[in-house]
Amino acid sequence: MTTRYNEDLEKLMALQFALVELNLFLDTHPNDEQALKDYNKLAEQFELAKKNYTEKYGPLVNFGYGKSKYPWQWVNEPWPWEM
Amino acid sequence: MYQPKSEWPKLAFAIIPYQEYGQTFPINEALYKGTLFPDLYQPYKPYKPGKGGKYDY
Amino acid sequence: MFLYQKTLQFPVRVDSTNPALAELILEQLGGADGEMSAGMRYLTQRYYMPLPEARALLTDIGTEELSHWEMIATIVWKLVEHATDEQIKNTPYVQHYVNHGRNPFPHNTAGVPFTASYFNAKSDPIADLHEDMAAEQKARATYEHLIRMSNDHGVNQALSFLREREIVHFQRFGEMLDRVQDYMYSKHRKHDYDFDYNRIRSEQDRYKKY
Repeated sequence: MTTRYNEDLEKLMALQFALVELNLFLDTHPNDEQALKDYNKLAEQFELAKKNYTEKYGPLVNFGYGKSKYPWQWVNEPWPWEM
Repeated sequence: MYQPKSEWPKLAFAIIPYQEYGQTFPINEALYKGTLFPDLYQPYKPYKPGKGGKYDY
Repeated sequence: MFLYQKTLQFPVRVDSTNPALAELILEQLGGADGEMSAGMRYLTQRYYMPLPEARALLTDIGTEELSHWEMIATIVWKLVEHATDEQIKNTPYVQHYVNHGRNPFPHNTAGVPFTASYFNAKSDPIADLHEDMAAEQKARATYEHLIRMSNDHGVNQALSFLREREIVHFQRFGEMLDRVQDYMYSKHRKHDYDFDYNRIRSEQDRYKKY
């Protein structure tokens, strides 16, 4: 596990976390325009980060949310509790 | 808000004020603080009782 | 449906091997105020909520609680992953070990297994949301006790993150309570409540200021 791996992952985690926070905020404030704008902006960045990560390390989410190289990458180590 | 100010307080109703969307932490900081919103950031500071103090809150 | 993203929600780092601490952390894996209890509670209550945004909030927070459950299991795992027999023998963790070895398992710190008796769904949105708010406060208090009992810096960082999440969830449930109360007691509501999504959508114009 290289330092580079952790950096990619932390960027992804940070983006994901901001999106979770905004998601919960929007659930209780569905008509807040600014929050929605920020959510969509971050969602775009997250899409790119996910694509980049999947390209390097394999699918991030199971059941079809990312393609895999050969051999099947989803089973690869490390799993989240091993990192 | 449900109750117009002229009717406050209505008995037997809990009210939590709505958060207004305002400042946010930069996202790397937000992850380590546990929230995106400075308004909701309440870090834990364990109370240190003086000599003989029984309570730790 | 449920999918799985192959990352933790927060980067958990554990700085020591400490089976005794692992036994304490298990309280949040299978205890009354732990993450499994919270996740099951919200995902069970979401079916009988009058407003679609309440169903969304309970689904979202319930899902997040399952991610926290994973974090707790990770903390426990990392604390005992490299423990020797000698390190395990003289701690309360030995009782967990004879049954489960190093595998995290949902029971509380006293060994009481997880049960659905820890939560409820009443088909009463106001009662349910109050239970949810109480649950978040109890979880926050438990994290504070755990933080004081632990001297592992990495573990405390993860526990602080989880504690702050409880505060934010409390705020969200409080906001949803207001919306649900508004609806339950409004003049537009008929008998129990109805699933007329179009009407609910148009009523939400009055929340535009939020």
